[in-house]
Amino acid sequence: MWLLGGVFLGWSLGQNDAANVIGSAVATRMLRFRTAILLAAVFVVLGAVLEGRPGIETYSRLTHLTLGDAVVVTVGAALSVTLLSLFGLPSSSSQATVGSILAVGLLKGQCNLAGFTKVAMCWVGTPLGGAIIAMGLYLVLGVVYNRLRWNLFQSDAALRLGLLLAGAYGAYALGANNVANVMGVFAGAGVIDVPTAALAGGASMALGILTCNRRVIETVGRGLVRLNPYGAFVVLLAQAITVHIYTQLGVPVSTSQAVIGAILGVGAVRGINTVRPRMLLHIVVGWVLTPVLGGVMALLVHVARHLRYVP
Amino acid sequence: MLRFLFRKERQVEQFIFSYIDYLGEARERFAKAMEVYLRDGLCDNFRFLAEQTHKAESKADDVRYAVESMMYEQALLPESRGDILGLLEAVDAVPGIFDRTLYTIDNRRIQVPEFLIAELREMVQVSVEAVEAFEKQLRGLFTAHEDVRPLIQLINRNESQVDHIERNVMRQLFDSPIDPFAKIQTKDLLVELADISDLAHQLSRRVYIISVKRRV
Repeated sequence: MWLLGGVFLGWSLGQNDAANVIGSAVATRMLRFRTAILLAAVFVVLGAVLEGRPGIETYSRLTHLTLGDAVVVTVGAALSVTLLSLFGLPSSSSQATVGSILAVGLLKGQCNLAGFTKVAMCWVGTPLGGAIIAMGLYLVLGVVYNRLRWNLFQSDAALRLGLLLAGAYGAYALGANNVANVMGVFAGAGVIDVPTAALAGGASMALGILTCNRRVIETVGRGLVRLNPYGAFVVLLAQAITVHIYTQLGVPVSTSQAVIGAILGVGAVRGINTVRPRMLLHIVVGWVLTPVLGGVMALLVHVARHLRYVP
Repeated sequence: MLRFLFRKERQVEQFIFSYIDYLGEARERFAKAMEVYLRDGLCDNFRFLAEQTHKAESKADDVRYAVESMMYEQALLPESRGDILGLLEAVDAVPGIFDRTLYTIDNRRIQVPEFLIAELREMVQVSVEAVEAFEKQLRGLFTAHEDVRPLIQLINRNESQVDHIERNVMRQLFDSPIDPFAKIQTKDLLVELADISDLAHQLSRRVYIISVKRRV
């Protein structure tokens, strides 16, 4: 019952981030929508179970939480993400969760500041890493791609297959990295062990993916493919690699910010301006407003939890 | 490469090669019809070959519609789909111009003045060569066995040569004392013939752009 806050957060995370990983494969009709969401759901669970441990352990070390605190954190994070979405602002579960943990930690006077600094530095490094990896991939794979001298049908088939594989890898990295947002605090509070937390978190994210909106998926996917198919493939792959690297470091990051960084990187290599005000807004909101709101919401939930009826 | 995943794309590929075959068939029949016309004038053999050209053009049309239907069923990436549909629509003007030219000759009973026949024969031959080179270029785009760049230069050369012949013939035509109505009719034929290499030139540039677009 206590895990429902985490399940809710995992479900909304899966719904929000599905478009980033399978949008291109659906928009290019490489996969049917149902097959794509099923594939992404499987890979999200695989990623969470096989590589979710480092992130979950990082969250466990940020502060000492009780079961009640864990519920406050997840509900606070879920409410802030929902609120941002209601106002049409971009949201990031990772940053909302860390903001909530920080608020609860400060309230209790138990904060691992070194841990928080590491996490905050990784946030800044996410779009930057996405951009650098995308630039490198675009140039290196481009040389190979040009040398292969494929005809129109071969290059089309290779790119569609690449979009599918990069999407599956992206789903795997999403599960491995973001499962900590969903169940990390419960494992930290000692409610469940790490493997169970990884499985439950992966399953709730998979549920979000399985119930996501087809039109949103197609719109985001078409937007990416419009870059040009090779650019879309590079963006997807760079995003998956970036998120996977942070998984190895044990820091949950925003997949959307990795995508934005990768789009900017591809734009820089191609000499075109891919900067959109909405992208920059996404990064600023992600770095500043989301953790602050996450903290505020966690404090409000905490206050509400301690309210007592006095007759 | 995982061919089972791309069944629809392989069907599109087969249809496109079949389209190029019909384009080649229309070109050969047109060349023969013009050869017969410039040698024997309007005769049954010419009409038979004009009919054969028309049939090849119709078959090419049918194949193009089939490719379009398959594309609307979402085969290929949107970018490739747009490129192929646009290109085929533009290429369809080639068998169309072959068919129209022969029909115009037959329908208007055009008689080419004797002193222009040799140059008209050369004009047809160079134009047909340009279309043949374009077919090779088109096939190269879909097979990658043929480099599309050298063929552009060949087509460009042929187009310039046709323009040169056209200007020459036009001058001779309007300097001659023949009936003004015959002059206008022959001029119309010349313009149509010159359009063939112009079209091949424009299409070859389009194919080149599509092939360059695919490079990273």
